[in-house]
Amino acid sequence: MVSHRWTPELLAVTHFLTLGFLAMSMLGAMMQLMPVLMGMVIPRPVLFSNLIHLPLVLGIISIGLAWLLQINQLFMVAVVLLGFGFTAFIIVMAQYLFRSKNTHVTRSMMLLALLALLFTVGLGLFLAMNYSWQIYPLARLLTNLHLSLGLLGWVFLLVMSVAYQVIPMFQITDEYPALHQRWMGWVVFICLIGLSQNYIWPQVWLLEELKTLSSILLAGCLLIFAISTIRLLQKRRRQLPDVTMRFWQVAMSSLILVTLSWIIPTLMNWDSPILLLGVLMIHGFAMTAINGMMYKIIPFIIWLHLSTHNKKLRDKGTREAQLKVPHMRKIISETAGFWQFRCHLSSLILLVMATIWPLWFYYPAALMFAVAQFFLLFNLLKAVRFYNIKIAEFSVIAQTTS
Amino acid sequence: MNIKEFMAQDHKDCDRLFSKAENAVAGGDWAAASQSFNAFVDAMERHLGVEEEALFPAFEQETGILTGPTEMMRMEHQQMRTLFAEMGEALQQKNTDDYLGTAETLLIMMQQHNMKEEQILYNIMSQRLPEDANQWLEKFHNWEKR
Repeated sequence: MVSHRWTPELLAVTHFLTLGFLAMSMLGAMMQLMPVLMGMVIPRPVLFSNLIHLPLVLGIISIGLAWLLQINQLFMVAVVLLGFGFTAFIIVMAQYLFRSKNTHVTRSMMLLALLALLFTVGLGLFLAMNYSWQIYPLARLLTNLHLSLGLLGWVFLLVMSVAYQVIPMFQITDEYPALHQRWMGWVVFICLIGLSQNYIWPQVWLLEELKTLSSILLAGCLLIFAISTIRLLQKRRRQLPDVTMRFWQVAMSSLILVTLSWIIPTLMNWDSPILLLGVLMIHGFAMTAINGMMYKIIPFIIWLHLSTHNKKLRDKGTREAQLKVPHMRKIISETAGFWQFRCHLSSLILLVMATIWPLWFYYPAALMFAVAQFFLLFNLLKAVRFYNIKIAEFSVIAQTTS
Repeated sequence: MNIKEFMAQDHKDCDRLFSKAENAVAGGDWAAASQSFNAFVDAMERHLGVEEEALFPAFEQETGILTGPTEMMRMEHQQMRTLFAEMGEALQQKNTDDYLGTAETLLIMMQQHNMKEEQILYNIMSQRLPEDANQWLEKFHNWEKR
């Protein structure tokens, strides 16, 4: 499976991770952030999420199975489903972002991230169609552009724009420097445009130089962001061990490693293990940051829903006193989060080793990765179960006291 | 200093008191924790009070919007007050886990609330409210003296 980048199994796994884990979490998070950050209320939010979620789930399964079972028709099914889900999401979110009165830089960065997503998805659909029809024989050259825009545009820009908000607020640190916040998103986006010219017109004069210049600048941005974040976290005012902070530290260390393992071999014309960059960027940076944020967002949302439900019951006059809603750490305990973090970090280390010495570390890495992801699933499902039990308990109390 | 600037600065000052209390509880210093927690709640009550009694009514009068963002903010203030009470209870019982868990819940509640205010509501207030910012700053400090 890991013999080269283009094996169908590896493509399936990569897309299960990028679409199934990253895109799903990021789309959900953006919908949550619309009312909080942008002051824009999505009407009928459950219906809207279902309209996006269902085609995406089916589309992700189709594209994965298309590679795994080598059924070319499934690529067409995936193109329709993923195309619909992403397009609907991008259009709706973009119009909310344009209408929002928010003046923070996060707004423009989210728009840039959405634009990068639009190009990533467009290229992805085109590449997938090519499996069925072979429209354009050199389509594979565009794969590099598809993954650069996806990982460095959509994923990196969105994580960075969210970090500007959540790191200072939830960890009680200083703000990122104003100049950094103001320009970083734009520089990254312009570098990506510079980088992409060479993929589109590979033979054109000077574009190779433009690509090198853009790569150096882009690497600089990634390093500046990662180092600034680590420094802010070191000087945070909260002294408690915090599982989300540990995830951020690992994500930022991975970002530094991925940048160095990309830029040094590129400039020196060295060979580096082909899968190392993918492992560090997708698992080490993106999945780690998202996994960490889940431990803040999911218990909080559950608490908020329980607390609102509780208030509604009280307002209806079904009982006199307000019941106590369990706090976040009763929904997902810090200990469970920390143990899952340890598994996650071990799986990252083993995966990195597997890219260098596949014969020795391939199976242990796969096993540890499965353990870490099952552990996360277990923690999240337990939280959902807790929510359902509490809602049932509140209703029973309301009935007996009414 | 406009409304947005001094109110956002006050959010930051409250955050510092919050982490001071949290650090003291985590370190098992209950006397210091109690002192910092009281200072935190006092600072918060002043902030929420100024909003509920001066800023929000002025906003509602100026814009004519009574059931929009300010109603939501008032509701979130109540949710925060419930959490202050639960933190106070945990402090009295010297229950570290309950204090830290409730404090974490309050932190997220408070910060997402602050984001809405700092990035949207205060901007509108800074533009629309008739009196100049110095008068608001004065009101803010006078509220403290009451």
